[in-house]
Amino acid sequence: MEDSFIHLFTTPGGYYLYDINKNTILSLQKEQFEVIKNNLSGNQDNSGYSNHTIDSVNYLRDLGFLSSKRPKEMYNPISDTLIYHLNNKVKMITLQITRQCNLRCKYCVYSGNYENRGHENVKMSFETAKKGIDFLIENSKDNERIFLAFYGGEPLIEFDFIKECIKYYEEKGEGKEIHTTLTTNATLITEEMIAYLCKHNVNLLISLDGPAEVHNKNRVYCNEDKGTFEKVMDNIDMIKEKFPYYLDKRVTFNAVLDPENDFSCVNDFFADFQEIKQSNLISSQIADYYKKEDIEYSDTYISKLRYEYFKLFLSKVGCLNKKYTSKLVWRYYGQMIDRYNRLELTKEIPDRVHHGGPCTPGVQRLFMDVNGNLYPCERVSETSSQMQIGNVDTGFDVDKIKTLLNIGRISEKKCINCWALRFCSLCAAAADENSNLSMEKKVSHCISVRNYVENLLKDICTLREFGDELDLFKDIDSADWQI
Amino acid sequence: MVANEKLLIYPYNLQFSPILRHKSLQKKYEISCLVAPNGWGFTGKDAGVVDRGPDIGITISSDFEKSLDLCDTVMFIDSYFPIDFKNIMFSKIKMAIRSKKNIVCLLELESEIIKELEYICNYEGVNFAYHGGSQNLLDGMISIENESIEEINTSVIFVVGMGERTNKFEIQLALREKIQRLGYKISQVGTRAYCEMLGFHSFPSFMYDSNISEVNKVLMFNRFVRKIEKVEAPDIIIIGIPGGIMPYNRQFTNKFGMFAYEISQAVIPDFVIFSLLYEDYKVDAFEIFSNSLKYKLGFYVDVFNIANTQFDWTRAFEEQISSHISIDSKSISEKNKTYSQCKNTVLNILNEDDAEKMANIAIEKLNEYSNVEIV
Repeated sequence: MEDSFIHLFTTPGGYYLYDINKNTILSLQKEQFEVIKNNLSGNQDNSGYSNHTIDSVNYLRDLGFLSSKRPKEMYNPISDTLIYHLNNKVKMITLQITRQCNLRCKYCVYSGNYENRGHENVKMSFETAKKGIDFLIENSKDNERIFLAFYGGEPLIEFDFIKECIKYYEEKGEGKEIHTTLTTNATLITEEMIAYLCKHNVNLLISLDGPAEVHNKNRVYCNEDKGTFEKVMDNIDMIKEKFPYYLDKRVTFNAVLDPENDFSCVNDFFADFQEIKQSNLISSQIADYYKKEDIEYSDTYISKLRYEYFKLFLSKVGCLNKKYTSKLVWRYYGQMIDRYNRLELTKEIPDRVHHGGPCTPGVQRLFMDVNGNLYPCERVSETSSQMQIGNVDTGFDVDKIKTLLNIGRISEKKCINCWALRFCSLCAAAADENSNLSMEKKVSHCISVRNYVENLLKDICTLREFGDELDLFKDIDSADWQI
Repeated sequence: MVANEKLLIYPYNLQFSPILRHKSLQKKYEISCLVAPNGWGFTGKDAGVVDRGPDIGITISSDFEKSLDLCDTVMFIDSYFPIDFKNIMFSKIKMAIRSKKNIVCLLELESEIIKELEYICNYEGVNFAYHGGSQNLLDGMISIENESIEEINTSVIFVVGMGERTNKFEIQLALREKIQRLGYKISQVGTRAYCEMLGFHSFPSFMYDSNISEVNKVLMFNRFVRKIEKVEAPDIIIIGIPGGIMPYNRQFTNKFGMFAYEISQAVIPDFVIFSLLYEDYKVDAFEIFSNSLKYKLGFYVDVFNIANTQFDWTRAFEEQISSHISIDSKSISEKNKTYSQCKNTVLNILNEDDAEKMANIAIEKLNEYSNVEIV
């Protein structure tokens, strides 16, 4: 039992064991927990514990729990059928239609603070966009629905180009359920644009970080150090007045949470913002991969954020009306349900397995830059030779994709012994040093991943203690699942 | 209608490729055009792309209007992908009628729509044939006088799948074609609603009727097969069982394998083909499956087939929907070589040699039982 592949943790209300082989969390009695902990630390002397407790722990072992089995290698099983995923299952393509932007947001990955390209006056040709759309159709033969997204720079700089693309997409996508999304800073929006986007069912993702003092701190125009908050709010007012249904149903707001800001201030702004009450709201942290300097999170920021999680949990166990909870953290509950429902009992961990984290590059969130180069998603560095996984003219580079899919191989010795491997969130971007994939860089994230996973497991168990079933099939807010 | 009517299929997809691969089973039509919506990604490709099997020799078009010039009749078929009936399908049906093409409809339609189409076809002077809902249950009703199972004396072959998308229809048609060619008289119950068009029985609609008790469904299916045996006096009866045999997990239930259970109670098979979705199975997995079917449904598996389709668990977890990944059939044959030492026979129906082998093994086994009469 000294070598059991398990992780022990406690909550204020209970003692738990996560068994990696069984992929199951067990609730333990205090004495059982102590016996296992004692044995795990190398002390096999159980003389201080009752026979009943020792028998019950032995019984767990008889049932196959507490096994010391580790996987032998990091190998993603999708590798065997990767080519078929790439040929048939591509879900979406995001087109970088321009690298030009009318803003210079201070946290932007193209701002110079990241190992990535900078802003530049380059745009996509319509021929390239058509090839991208054709590529999506050609490689999504097994999907009944496909997604096209417009990204920049600021895509609305090229609105006529967007219209051409959508016309082509609607014509060529006949027979599929087609979806379209546009990410914008919302400063260039006009009534004519919204009328068009509304008519063509285009989902709009508007970046809005909070009240003026928060939003304007980072989101400023490129040619003057002036914030964009007022312009964005004017445009939201216009949408609300002229296209209220569109605002409610097709517009999502994305708040980038800067830990240097007061979380409560951001939270209060969105809580009081009547115009977007019905719209979806999601939040994201400032990107940390590729950042030249580390992002600091103050204790105050973290405690305020965790307090909102706490209120969310209270609402889930019936102790607080949901209207008092922050939409900014709703998505965390969706993640908990997802994780909880993946805790399906298994016989043992396979010899060949891969840690969680990597998507199937190119299949889930394919990104195409202005030149037709392909990347796993819009979040990776465009200057990284590792991340360029093909070109729209030549197709996917399957070998490169296989390397990214099996990124666990570079840290295999650590990964096969890591209790959090099934929950890991590290993909190849965590290891990317632009010119190579670095094991050291990747494993530098491991502590924070394990902390996150432990907190997640504790939150799941705490909610279960209070009666929440975390049921995938009961009604939950669609916003909980917003990606 | 005249023989060798030129036929256009819309929207051509995986549902139809088995019929195309076994053209000899229907002699009424010459299939001249295959049209699929452009968004499905088949435009300009060989018809074999839809099931990722060998080439068939007809190119798929996405230009419906232009293709109408090349046919006498248009057959509208069902598809795995939902297709907008009002905006796409209905408008294409009407376009075909206006172009004076006969219509064969294999879609399940509401009665009002059927009436409307009959009216328009009548007005335009073209034929309208509908095979979407019910099927010929032989003359006379099935009557249940007591709760006992009547013995079927003819050899019965079951085609069973682990779930949907396991190439069951391809197996059924391949067996029919190859065994008929050997001179045996076959009666057959297929998993689709339009099998009558191919000369055999569709899965009977009473099996879907929620007003009939499950016990009566078992008895009625038994009498249904018994009646086929009496009326048609076949050498072999092939029964395709729709759906799967058991839930994958608590979300993807395969209707709990109810049809498989009911049919296994109604008829005892002499030969069973069990088709699995593709996975990287260990050699001992087939024994486990075999035992599972033995104890769940009461029969042994004689031959395994591996379909060139894999369940997409990534998407299942992310979007809570059932979705599949198509795999080139040649890869399945390659993979099956690793099972050559396995005591169970593992085949790939889209490989012509394997299809032949499957039919031969079935005949050999049934001959061993010495109750097959050659016509």
